[in-house]
Amino acid sequence: MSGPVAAERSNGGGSSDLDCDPNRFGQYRRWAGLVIFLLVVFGAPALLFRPWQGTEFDQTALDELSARQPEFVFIGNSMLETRIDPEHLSELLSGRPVTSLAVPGSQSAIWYLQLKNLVAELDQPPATIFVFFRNDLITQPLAPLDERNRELIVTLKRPDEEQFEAVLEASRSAYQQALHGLDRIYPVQRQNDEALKLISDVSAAFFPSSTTELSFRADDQFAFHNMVGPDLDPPPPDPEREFEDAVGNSFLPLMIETAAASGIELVFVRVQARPNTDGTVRETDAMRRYSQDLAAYLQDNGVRYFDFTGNPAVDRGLYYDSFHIDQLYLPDYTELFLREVAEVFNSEGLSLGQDR
Amino acid sequence: MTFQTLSFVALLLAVLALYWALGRREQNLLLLVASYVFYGYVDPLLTVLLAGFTLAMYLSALWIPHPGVAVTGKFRRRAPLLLAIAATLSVLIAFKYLGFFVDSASEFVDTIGLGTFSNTLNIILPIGISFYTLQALGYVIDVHRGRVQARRNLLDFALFISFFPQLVAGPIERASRLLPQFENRRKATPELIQSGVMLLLWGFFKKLVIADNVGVIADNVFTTESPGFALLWVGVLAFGLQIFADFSGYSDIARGTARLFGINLSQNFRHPHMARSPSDFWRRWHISLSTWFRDYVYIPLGGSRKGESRTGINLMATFLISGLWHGASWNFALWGGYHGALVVIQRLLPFSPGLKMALRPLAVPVTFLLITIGWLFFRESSLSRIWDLLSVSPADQTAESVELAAFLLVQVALYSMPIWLHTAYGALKPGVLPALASGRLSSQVQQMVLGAVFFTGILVMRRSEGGEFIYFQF
Repeated sequence: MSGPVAAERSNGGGSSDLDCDPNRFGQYRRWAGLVIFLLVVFGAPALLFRPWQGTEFDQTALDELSARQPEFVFIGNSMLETRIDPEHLSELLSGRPVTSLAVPGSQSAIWYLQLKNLVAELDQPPATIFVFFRNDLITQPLAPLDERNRELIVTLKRPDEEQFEAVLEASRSAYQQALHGLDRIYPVQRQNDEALKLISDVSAAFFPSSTTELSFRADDQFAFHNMVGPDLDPPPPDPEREFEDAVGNSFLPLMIETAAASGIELVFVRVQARPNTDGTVRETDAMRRYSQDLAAYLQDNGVRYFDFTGNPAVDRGLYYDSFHIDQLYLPDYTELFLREVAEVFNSEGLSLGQDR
Repeated sequence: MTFQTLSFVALLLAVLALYWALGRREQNLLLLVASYVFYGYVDPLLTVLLAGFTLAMYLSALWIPHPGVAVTGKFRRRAPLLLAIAATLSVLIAFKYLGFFVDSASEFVDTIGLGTFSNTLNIILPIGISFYTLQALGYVIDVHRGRVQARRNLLDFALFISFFPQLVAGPIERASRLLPQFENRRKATPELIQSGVMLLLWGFFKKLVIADNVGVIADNVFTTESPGFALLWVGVLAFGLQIFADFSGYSDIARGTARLFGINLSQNFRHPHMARSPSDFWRRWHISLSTWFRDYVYIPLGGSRKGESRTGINLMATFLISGLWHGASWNFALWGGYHGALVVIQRLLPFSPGLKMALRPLAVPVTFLLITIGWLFFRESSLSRIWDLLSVSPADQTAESVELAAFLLVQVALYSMPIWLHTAYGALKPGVLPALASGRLSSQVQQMVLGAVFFTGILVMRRSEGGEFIYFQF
């Protein structure tokens, strides 16, 4: 035993650049040093970017929207941003005002606040609001990792939003509660988008083209139509919960109620994932079931619903990735959308040209 | 369960809360239970394979005759080792290589015109299988060689095989180094815990901030049909940095986690970007694997003891096996063969001492360039596409594409800056920065500042859609 064991013992331990030099302080001072180390390392970042906590409802957003006096308002996330060009749509509608309130990465908590505290509070509310979403996001209040939008929520919220907070709390899983807790301790992580954008901006500063131009070029270079392989994506995941279980803890009923109380027509638009190479729909059975239940629910509540899933007019070649539309085709998709939901605009007395 | 999840943090905190209040045996039992929970978190069936394999290797080692005991016949002495090798190969072939062999045979039959047959096997690769099988086999070989005594305590041995910080992606530990640590009382010291926390932060920073961000660029380039010359090589460079940050990040997280339990794991990377030759690179990259193959494959094959040509063959064989160890795909064999060829060529080049001295300033950049080229073979699984990409000429690109490549290159440089600073610090530390690197107080302040910077960086710069650790697939 002595040979191997002696060799084994002599092999213990290891070193690296990050090792410490032991035995310099007394026992207690060494432990106190560790406590101070932990406090500084994990405590200092918690002090960064705290000023937002005093932020209240942002009146300027309401004033700006009021000044535009939109007839049609669009709400959603990047699904909307990459599909509808409000200026182009306005031109197609003979100059009738169209406004998009798209917030990339947002979900229905933000859409509800935009509807309730911005659009519904206008002196002259719009005729119609379109809400764009994908999968089951319309019954998911906040994305699991989307606490960064919390700052936006603060600026959209009125002082007494008990109903809003109740829905949010009820919908959070233990995992989301933990993330929410982390977010409250470390508000600095909401600077994530800004930090990553800063890297792009600094990189672009070395070149004659702007960040936007270079990002646009990168998007086009790495778009779906330039990809290797015929079929890269699996279907989007199943819904988090069945529709009936999800709707009670979502903002969907509140959105319908708010729009009805303000006399605004609410229109939900579900966008489709990029179809398969053979044109078939990329969707699981559970998601299809969810969509059918959602459609029935909206019909019962007298709300219009357009599900673009399986719509043959939305060609696979329009996509940048599995959900977003390539920005080159933004005007085309806007026109396609107008054609597909013409009845909504017709009901406003609009006459669409036949040549489009 | 993976390191970058809240589930792992919860498991780690729960185990730590109990661990230091327990005696040694109870500590080992707790770690073993935690390791099996960690491993079976997604699929509990995986723990059956782990337990069965552990038992097979435990019994094989116990069956090996003690060096002091007279045994008649070579077979009796070698049988336990052969059994262990057979068990290891069986597990690896069944779960990792069978589908690959069937696919290759199918392609071959198709190529020579004897018809086709399809691979209906759908075997899921158990995570970490390549790592824990090598660690266990190394133990049995060491027992066979008389370097380590076979352990009778199944609890300690099972923990040696399944210790969760290093179970799924190493470092591949030697029994002589890790087992005694489980067999002796561990002591918590503030220095050990602080260094563990620092390693955890640095590891997570490398994975979540560097690897995941440059990985997006690499993924985009490699999924593009015709990336163009400049864009292709920016993508290859990005992948080289991604895999370093990803895998060395994992290793640091493993080492940091282990230190919180009073266990020291091996250093797996030692500034590989400062390598002065291909063979030097392998003394710095995935050290626990390269030394495993050196000790248990290359040296038993004869090493460098049987002449230059045999040495070359042994090197090529070792690198080819090492390449295929990474994955059941021909591109990994190509990658291993490429590195084997580099090391063999390095041995054969007739450099005089004077010429070596003259070329010294070029050694690091040339080695970096050669290693970076090799990442193309590692990242792209299709041999025909590798050939297509190697055929891409600098003439096949537009000025706009070059500008885009340069833009992405700057992004790669910015994201990977901490790696270069760490590398420079590692290289300069003994000479240029002695004042900064020595002295307890300055070191403590440095570590506090660095730790806070790493943690803030993780909070602010991580990608929300970050990927899995690359080496989990092996």
